[in-house]
Amino acid sequence: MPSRTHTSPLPVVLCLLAMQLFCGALANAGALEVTLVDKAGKPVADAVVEIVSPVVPLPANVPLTASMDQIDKEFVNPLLLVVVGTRVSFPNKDNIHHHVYSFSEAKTFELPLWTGNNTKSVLLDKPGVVVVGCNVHDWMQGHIYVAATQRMAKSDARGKLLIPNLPAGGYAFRIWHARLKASDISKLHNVVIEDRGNTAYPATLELGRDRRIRRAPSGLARDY
Amino acid sequence: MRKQALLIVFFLAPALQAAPGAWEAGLAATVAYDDNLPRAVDAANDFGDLATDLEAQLERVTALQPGRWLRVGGSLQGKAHRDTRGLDHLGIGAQIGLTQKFGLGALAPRVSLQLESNRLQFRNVLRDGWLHRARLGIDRRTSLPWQFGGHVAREWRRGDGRRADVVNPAFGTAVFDQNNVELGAYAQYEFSGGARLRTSCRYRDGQTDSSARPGGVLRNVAQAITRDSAIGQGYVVYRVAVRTLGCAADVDLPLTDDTSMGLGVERLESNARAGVRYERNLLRLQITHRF
Ligand SMILES: [Cu+2]
Repeated sequence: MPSRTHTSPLPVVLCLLAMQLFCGALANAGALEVTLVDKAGKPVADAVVEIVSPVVPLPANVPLTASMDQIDKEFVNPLLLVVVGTRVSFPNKDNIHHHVYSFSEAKTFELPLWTGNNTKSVLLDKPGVVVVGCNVHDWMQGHIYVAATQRMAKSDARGKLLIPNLPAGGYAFRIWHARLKASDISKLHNVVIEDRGNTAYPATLELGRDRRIRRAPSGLARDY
Repeated sequence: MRKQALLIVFFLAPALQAAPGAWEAGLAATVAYDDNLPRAVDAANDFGDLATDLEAQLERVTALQPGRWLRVGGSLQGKAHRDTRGLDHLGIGAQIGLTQKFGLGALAPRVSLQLESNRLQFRNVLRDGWLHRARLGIDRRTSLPWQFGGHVAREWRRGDGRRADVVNPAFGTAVFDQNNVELGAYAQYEFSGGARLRTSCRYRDGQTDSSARPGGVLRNVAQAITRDSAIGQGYVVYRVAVRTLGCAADVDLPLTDDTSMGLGVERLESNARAGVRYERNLLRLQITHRF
């Protein structure tokens, strides 16, 4: 039987299949919207939510390089989210010497960073949190959250974060914040994601005191 | 010594400019009250005065290797008194220092050695001279809030001897040639908002200048005597060997990332031979800014 079109049927079928899959996925995908406040009801920024179950393999196109810049004696993006296997570089954009280090279990390293020498990077090959400091400027502090999966996000100034494209179903996630107790970090939160729209999950975090070394200089008191 | 110090700075500056390092500048303004400015041993001679002190510092900080820094710099200082104008002075100094941090991180102990040479010019030239100092210090943060430290310092002061008048032929007039050794220690607590509370003590063994009207007990312990036109009419200044114990409490608040304000009190008790002693209480308010 002669075909009514000159187009080969295979691409059309593939195209239709892809659309079906795409629309199907959208139709059955929701999002997790977490809102975090502290005990005083204030929004908690820079908290991380990572879905730990079910585990999905990392997609092939996930970026595996990232950087944590230093400008004006501070880490510019002091909370960086990466996946396992990412190489992180520490470009020193100051005209002075920094000496970046970490004692963390997830990665121990030390990088003396002379200005202009920004090529060295660190491979983060274990999930966990890498606390980064500078040996020259004790007040400088950064955190790199190394996730096992790509399903993670950090909260903004309103204490909100969104993890999109989650097929409907039950999930377990963890919440991390630099000032959260270890027992609260290891706690699993369970949620059932609906097949469309955002599933809201409000949580109150009990944060410890903001303990960091101050940057302001001490006096130069002298008495001749 | 002063020429050598200036030459070192002169030749080191271009070399340091080429090495990886940074310029650091600081400014400190202090208002201080000293309740016994003449270091008098009796109530008849002591008086208090308020002074304003401004000090600017510029340093080239060079990382010789990770954890080891060389600091070379200069400072300019001016101090003005409310009443005792003769003690107003300008100071210009050169410093060289080496800091070594043993290990990584904020809790790693650091040891620093500093040598400095200062030229002091007073409104009344009697006290003009040089002040050289060598200081070895150690600082150790044991946790984020707690920090402890100590120092040992040696000071050499050499007066020019200008306008030094003989008061008693049995004594020389080099009152402002003084040597001192100082030992000190401090404990500091930093609150989560950045406020620092520091208590410190220092012990000084050496010589000082003490002023009084003639006829007091100071003559019995004096090493040198001259007329003191800077402190006041009829005053005489004695060089006395003393042991001083000073204890201080300071609160220091961050105002911005690079500015802080400190308020401190210090009580100093000095003992000379033969039961001669005096006390001083200092109150100071200081603003420090780093550029
Ligand atoms: Cu740094």
